[in-house]
Amino acid sequence: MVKNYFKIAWRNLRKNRASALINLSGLAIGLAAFLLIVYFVRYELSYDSFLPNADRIYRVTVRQEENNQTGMYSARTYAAVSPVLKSEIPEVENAVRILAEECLLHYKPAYTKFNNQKTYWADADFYKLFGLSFVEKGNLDLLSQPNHAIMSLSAARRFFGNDWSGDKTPIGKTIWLNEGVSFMLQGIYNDLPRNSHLAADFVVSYSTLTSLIGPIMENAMPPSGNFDYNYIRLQEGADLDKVSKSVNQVLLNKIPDAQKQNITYRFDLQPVRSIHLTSSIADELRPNGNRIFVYALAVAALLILVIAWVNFINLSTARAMDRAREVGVRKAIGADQKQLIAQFVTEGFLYSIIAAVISVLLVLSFIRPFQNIIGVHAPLFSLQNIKLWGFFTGVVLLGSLLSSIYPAFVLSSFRPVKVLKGKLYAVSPASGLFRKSLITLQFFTAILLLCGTGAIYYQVNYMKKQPLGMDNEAVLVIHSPRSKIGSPKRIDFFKTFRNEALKDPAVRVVASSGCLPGKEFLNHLEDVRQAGVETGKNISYDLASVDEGYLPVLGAGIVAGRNFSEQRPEETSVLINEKAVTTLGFANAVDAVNKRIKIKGKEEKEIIGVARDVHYRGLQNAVSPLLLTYGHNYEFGFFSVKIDPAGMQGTIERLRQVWNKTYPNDPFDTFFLDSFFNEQYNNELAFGRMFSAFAILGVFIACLGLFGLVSFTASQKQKEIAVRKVLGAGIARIFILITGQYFKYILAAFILAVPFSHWLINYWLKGFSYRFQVNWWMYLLPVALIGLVALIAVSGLSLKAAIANPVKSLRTE
Amino acid sequence: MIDLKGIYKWVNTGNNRTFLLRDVNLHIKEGEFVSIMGPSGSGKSTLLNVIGMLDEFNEGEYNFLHESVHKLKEKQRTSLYKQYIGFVFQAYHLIDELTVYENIETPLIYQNVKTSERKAMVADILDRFNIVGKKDLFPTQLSGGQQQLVGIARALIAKPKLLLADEPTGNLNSKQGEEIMNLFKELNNEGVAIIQVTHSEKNASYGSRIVNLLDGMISPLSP
Repeated sequence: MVKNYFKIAWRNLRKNRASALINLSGLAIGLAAFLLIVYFVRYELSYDSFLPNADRIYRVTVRQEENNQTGMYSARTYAAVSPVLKSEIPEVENAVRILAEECLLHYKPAYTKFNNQKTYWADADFYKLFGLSFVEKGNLDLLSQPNHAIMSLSAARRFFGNDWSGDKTPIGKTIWLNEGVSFMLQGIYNDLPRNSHLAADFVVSYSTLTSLIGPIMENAMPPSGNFDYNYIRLQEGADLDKVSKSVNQVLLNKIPDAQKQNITYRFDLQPVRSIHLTSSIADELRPNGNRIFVYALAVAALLILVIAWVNFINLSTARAMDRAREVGVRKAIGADQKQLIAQFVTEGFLYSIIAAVISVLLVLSFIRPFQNIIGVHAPLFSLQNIKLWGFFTGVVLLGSLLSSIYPAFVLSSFRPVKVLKGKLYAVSPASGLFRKSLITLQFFTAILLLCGTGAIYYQVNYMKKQPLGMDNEAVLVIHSPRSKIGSPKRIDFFKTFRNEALKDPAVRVVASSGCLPGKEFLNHLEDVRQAGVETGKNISYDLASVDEGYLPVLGAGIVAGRNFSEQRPEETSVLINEKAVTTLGFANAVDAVNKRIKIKGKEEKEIIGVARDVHYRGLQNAVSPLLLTYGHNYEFGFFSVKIDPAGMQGTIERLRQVWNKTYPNDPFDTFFLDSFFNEQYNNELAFGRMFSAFAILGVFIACLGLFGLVSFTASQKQKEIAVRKVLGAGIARIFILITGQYFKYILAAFILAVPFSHWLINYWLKGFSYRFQVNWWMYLLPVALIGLVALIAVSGLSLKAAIANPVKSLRTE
Repeated sequence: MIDLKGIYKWVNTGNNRTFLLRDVNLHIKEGEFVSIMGPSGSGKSTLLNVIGMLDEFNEGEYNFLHESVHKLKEKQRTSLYKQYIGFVFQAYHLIDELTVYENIETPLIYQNVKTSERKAMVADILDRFNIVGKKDLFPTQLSGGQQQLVGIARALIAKPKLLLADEPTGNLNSKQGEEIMNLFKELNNEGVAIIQVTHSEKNASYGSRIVNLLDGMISPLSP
């Protein structure tokens, strides 16, 4: 019998190709959008779930407060945290420190070297806590001793190729780091999944750091700097509240009293799985996801799905008119209602399955660009995603059942006598209120998505057009040579490079700096005050050392005082920005010059000048107060070169030659400052693209639904239209008769959606320090656009009905 | 076989009650061939639909093969109907999406007859009606007479005791009509009771009895 049902369904589908196409495409697009969004949302929610016992792993964060003002809130804490917690709190099963940096690694026998390799200096238990699985293993116990390391599989392939047989095994080989610290490889581990907030190419023993730098790397607590990420794993069943209290107690005990006088410290335990979406504090290991976007998209996915399916209901039921006679006949030859319901539910299933197959094909053809937009490259078909497909199948089956049951009941309830006599049944595609709220909801969503898209674009454009306090065009940045770190001659090397480069007339300025617009500051300072004025707010200051070329390279002017100079001793000099003038409590820039500041209660510096505020971070953030000291950066630095915009390619090639002469051991690794800076808007841009795609889909599906309903009305009112035309009604009147009722609900959707969008957009904009001015006409555009598209969608159909010869439809009576 | 006692059917329009059937009393024996006649709007089709259980009535008693139809629930009525009654329409009412073969087969599907049995039964009737060659055609590919033939075959496939026909020749030319009526006569001779609604005296003459209907009442002229 089921075979029979499918046969009929299939023939029906082929017979009514046009309406089937509308119905199927709406559903398929809706399902495809849903699948893509769920794929993304699942990925975002899956961060760090691969960790063994992820629910018991926490990261320790620190917050400094003074007078209820947060001075610093950082993911990095102090070196003593892990050992102290592990030894003093019984519930802490294991604890691991990580100090993260990007290093130059080289393997001397093969002359292979790679820059910017993500390197973690980590305690020996790192691989246990984070559940690394090993491809090759030496003696992992040696990781507790200096100069041993493990490497990720992908990095190992870069260094050692693919053939690891016999002597070629990487285990026991030596890798040199930066200026030449050597590490013996004790293991090759499978790369951490990309859906982790951790990413490491090379994990070296933490004790190396202690042996290089000293015990400060073991027992640092405030006022020492916070450079380590500390992760702890609690025992099963441990009471989180209780442990949190003990953590604070134990750690606060280790902070000298003097330090605690003005400042309160608070340590929090962050569940490791929540870091990606909810943390977003200072010094994150990797940029976090945006949970507002994730949740917004999840809701959008649900809405699109519901809309697509209710459309399906409406369109199927509207087609009931055509099926009425068939139902009558079937009843007359002995079908009971159950059998008819089964038939129409089967049909619903067939449609849903076809739509699902099309949607999967759509997803497969759009997955690459989609992955590029969202920056997620998890395979669509994989064991991890088996749940995704299970979920999708479940949604398709459940949805098809729910959406076909209503039309099935409507259809099967026809009284055969009436339909067989040719009396057209007055079926509504859904009960009045249901239909009205549906169409309102559809357009409500469409407007919301479109307004949201508009807002994202306005905001990104606004941010991109704002003056940044600098001229970042045609600034080529080179990663500083890692092989010279620690070399006393590194400054001489730089000067050689600079002077050689400046001989080129296309090279204007060459600078060396420890910071860069668009790059998070490595160092922050708290407890900075005017000397002699012990009060004042405890605020976190960005800190970096730069040379005299730095401000000129950025084209950032000096407001008062002077720039650094090569000719003067600048050991105690400091440059501040305009924002710091205010936070330090000076009346104005001129007032600040030649004043002294005191750092952490002891070290004094003299302000030699005030630089104009430069945006280091994207305009999501306000300008932070900044301290610049004079010096050639020790590591992590950048060489910036301002070049002539004309003939850039040639200039860069000449620079490369100069570089290779000065730094034969270091790669010439460059990027342009302006595009680097704008990468900070990638997140917003990606979501803007995503939103606009889904907004277009939303509008499309909504119009599809409208189209279906209007076609239904047109056929239902055929007779009324004919009679009115005979009585002399014009085409315009008929048009209004058909479409009028629906536009009323679209109007209602406008009225509801605009204030809601306005509220949402303003809520979203609160996350930006610099935001565009929301204007009423920004809502008018999407509204007008949707209105126009809807009008176009229905006008052809309505006009056809309005122009039709009335005699034809009257003759049927 | 059929026993109608005091059947009334009406519709309310505003304050007026319009009677479609008024105190219809009718007894039909098994194997009878009855023609219902009367002017347009006299209630012929309504009566046929009531007998065929496609339509309900407001008052009276209807006994069909010792079952009290007026007391049955919808489900029981459907199963009674499925088993004993076949319907033939003026407009044939074949399902356009199904082939001749499938149209004829459908009632058997609704009665959960097994596939192999179905095949045999459909093959038999195709053979009998001489339409084996047409079995894979769709209704729109057939002439009106052929369509009605298929309609009758479909009505007979489940071996009903009663065949109801609502102006079966109304859309056919006289030659086709004659063929259909001869077929009815033949079926009746085999023991199938037939009730037909017709305008044509000639068609009525094939039957054994004529019931005249006027304004929803059986006219006393009826034998």
